Amino acid sequence: MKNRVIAAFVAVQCALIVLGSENGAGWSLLERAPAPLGFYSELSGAAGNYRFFSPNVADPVVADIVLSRHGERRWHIAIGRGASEFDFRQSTAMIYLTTLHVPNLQARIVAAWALGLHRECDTASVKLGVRRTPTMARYRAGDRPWDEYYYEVEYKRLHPAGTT
Amino acid sequence: MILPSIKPATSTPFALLRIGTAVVLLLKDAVEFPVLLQLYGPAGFLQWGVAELSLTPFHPRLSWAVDLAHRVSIDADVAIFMTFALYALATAFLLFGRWARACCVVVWLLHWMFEDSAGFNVYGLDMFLNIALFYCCFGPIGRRFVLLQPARDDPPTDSNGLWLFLLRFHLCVAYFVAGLAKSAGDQWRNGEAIWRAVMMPQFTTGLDWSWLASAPVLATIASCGTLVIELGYPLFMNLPRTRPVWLVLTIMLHVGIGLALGLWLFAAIMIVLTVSAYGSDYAEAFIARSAAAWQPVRSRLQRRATS
Repeated sequence: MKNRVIAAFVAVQCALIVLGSENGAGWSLLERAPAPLGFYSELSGAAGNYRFFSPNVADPVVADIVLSRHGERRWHIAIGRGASEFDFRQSTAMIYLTTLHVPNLQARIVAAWALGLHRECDTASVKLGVRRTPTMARYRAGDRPWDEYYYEVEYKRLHPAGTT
Repeated sequence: MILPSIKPATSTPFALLRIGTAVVLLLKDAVEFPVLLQLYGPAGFLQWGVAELSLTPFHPRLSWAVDLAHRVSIDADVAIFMTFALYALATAFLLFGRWARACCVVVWLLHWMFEDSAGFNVYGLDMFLNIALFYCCFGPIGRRFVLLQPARDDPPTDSNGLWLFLLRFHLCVAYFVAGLAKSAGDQWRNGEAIWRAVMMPQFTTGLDWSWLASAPVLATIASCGTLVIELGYPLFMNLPRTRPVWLVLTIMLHVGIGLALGLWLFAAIMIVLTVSAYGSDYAEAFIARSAAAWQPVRSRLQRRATS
């Protein structure tokens, strides 16, 4: 009896793994499935997206934040240029936000985080861009990676942090 | 046997999965501890107000722990650190196998809470840790390699075989789908994918990979090799003759990811999953050989103690 219950569970889980593997044609079925089933698929890892770096490797997102106080530049924070676990996770979040195509929201999120981190500052200038990498052939011809910015905005804190 | 393709198995694969997953989790905890609030705090990179918009009311999240702590006048940051401490403690118990099942359920739920509160900064590491923890919650994890517990009989059983089949099936789908998705991109066929990946600033490991532009054939071999390993995983891992070769190739692929991209934790969990699912026989043989080599020393020590 125990083995039959496990076998039934395994069969259902295998079906969800195939349906949920996102590249399979069953993904649309799973999205239309009852909410608890979708939730279970997510919890169990059956609804996984395994499309890392595919179909092509996209250009990474970069952001430059300049924080100042009373017009005097205090800090420069670069997102997408560090190699620590935190930097990598931050870059992952930035890529996700970029896919939403809402640069104003993305810039606000970045500015809010930076102003929260440095509460003494009152202004955050945010520049969003992508790091372009030339092909191997273009690199041999002399091209080098460069940053291409697509959005720039400045945010001001009108009251000192913690007073509103 | 229930199905002809599912063979009875011992619980060794799941004991290895339990130990490997716990080690990776503890390493992840050590890396994340200094930036815990930046990653998971209410005013972290993505504030909870935004991060929680995409969650259903059922998704476990850190704000539940914070709300609970608030009722007994505990600060939000302290509550997050306390939850993290519980997460690390339960992981340590999982590593040593004491109260393994209960600890695994606790770790799995806490892992979900942190992941849901992370605000889109989760990546493959978190996803495969979740998969590993899910199978640890159900699989036979507490029979072997348990601290301060004498070895128990571990005969091959049908139920163990079913759990092992499920783990293997999930990995086969994951690798195959990953390979299939990559094969649709021209960058993976001409080597540009490898070049672009190693040139990304967030994957800087201290090694300068710009020389690769002068040897594009190496990049092409590496990218096509990745496709072959991933697409061939379901077939060659399940053929007994080719399994050792594919096991080594898969481990080499992940060591390469660790070396070239610095994604050591991701590489480690993938190696743990693959070795648990397909390499437990070799690990068992290695342990038996080590135990045999250790036996004369142990007997000598015992003799000396009794005399």
